[in-house]
Amino acid sequence: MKDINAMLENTELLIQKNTKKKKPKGRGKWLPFGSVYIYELNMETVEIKEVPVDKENADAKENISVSLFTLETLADVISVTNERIRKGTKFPIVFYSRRYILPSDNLTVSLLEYVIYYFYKEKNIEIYITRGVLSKDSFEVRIHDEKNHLCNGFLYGTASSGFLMTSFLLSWSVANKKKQDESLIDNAISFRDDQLRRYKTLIGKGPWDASIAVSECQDFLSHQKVNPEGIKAVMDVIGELAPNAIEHGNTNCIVDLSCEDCEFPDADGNYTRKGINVSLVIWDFSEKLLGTDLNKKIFIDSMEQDFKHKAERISTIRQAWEFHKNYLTDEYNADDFNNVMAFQKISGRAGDRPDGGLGISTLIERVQQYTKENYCYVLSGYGALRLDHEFTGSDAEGYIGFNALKDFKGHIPDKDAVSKTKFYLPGVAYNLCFNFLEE
Amino acid sequence: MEKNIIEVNIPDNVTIVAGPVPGREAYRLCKGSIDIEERNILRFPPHVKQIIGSFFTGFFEELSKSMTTGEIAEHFGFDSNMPSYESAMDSFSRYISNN
Repeated sequence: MKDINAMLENTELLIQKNTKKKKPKGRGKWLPFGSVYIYELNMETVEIKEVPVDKENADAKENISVSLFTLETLADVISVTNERIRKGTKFPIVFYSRRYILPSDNLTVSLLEYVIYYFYKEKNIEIYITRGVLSKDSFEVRIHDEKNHLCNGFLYGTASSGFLMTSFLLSWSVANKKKQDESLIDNAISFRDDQLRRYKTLIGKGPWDASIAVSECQDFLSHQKVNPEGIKAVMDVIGELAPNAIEHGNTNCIVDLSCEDCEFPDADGNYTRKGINVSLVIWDFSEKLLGTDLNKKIFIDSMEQDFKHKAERISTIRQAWEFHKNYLTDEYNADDFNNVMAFQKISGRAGDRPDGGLGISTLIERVQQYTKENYCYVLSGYGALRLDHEFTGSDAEGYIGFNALKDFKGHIPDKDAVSKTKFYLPGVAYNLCFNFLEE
Repeated sequence: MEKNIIEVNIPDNVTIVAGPVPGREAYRLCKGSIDIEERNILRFPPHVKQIIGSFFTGFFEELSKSMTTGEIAEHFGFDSNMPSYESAMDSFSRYISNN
């Protein structure tokens, strides 16, 4: 087992950046006996259609209203917890909803696991997320229900995402507090279970650490019946993004993988062919955004030096900025332009150099080839770029405009390609999903 | 040109070599044996199954300051008997064609 604490560096940043001055909209109170603080989170309610509710009877389905746990909810959790710590509390905090809770995607699960780990290890504060019912004289935590689709307050089943199904969050409960296995919390950072089909690892900064992790990812996938072509594709992506995250951010990164069965349509459109979804999340602890280095190189350092290599691309990016800057809004700002710039095949590494910029191109190629539906995005700072096929097509020279016209130079990205969240990711995070036929 | 065999050192628990940082590290360990007048044949150990990603960006970082990519392509090759040969060729061609 790796010594996780010794490897983790720069862990505060994500927490600090998401401790908001403005109070979140939820409500908190002490329970009468005083040793637990409970906080009802303010979450969006969404209806999930046709959730299977009976393991014995596949046709039994219901529509269920759930509370959607997003990255913004996570920022609320961080803000409230830090506020309690500031007030000197040492007691557990239970964040709850009256409804089932459903995390919005795998990146949210991966980061939530980390946040719980961080407060437990660094601040000695236990955080629990659950479904709860508060009445006049009691607070009842709902762990399981008779229909088998509730576990520790979370909704699971087909409506849910891969990471949640395998997460320690499903057993991390205030109701088990006294008999809880404390090693459970280490699963938040480092976890491999071939039966549950999840592999999560923290990569250190040593020169070979990323290669060792990539080798382990390959071993994990080869136990999951992913076909060789699929393994190669996922390895190409991890092999570019993980070392990049460490080199670019000079910090650790997390690689998180899970597999789920899925079905592919045959020639008649019937979903009969067996396949595997591979979910991949990669995020780092860096304080550099996706476009930070490249912005410095092209718009700041370049005043002092002329580029011999890739001069034309650099000049095109400068021209594009002259165009884009006339159309900046709250929804598409200079940081978003910097994010888009990282997709234009120029390395952010300092200096005039002929090479690099390959990592992101590899990512786009693999997403174009192996992603059936569009669950993929990159998040950096407050801005996310969606990697849907319709936005990531390139023009003849390889520029990617994040618009349907495939035009980086003369058009800003389409509205749907850029999104904003109130959660701040100090480095870079990728939320990806690939679909392969079973071997 | 004479053939100059270069043994590339890779730790035992690495089966997939990925990224520019190991590339730089591998170059640092073997640069004493490289002769840029000759054809250098890189030989990775048998436990290495694949070389992926931007390994060669790191490996040739220093040399690319004094050599063109054409010269690098001409003066470097791989031992065709090693298990990672195919992936090495793939990553190397990708490196050469992108620069």
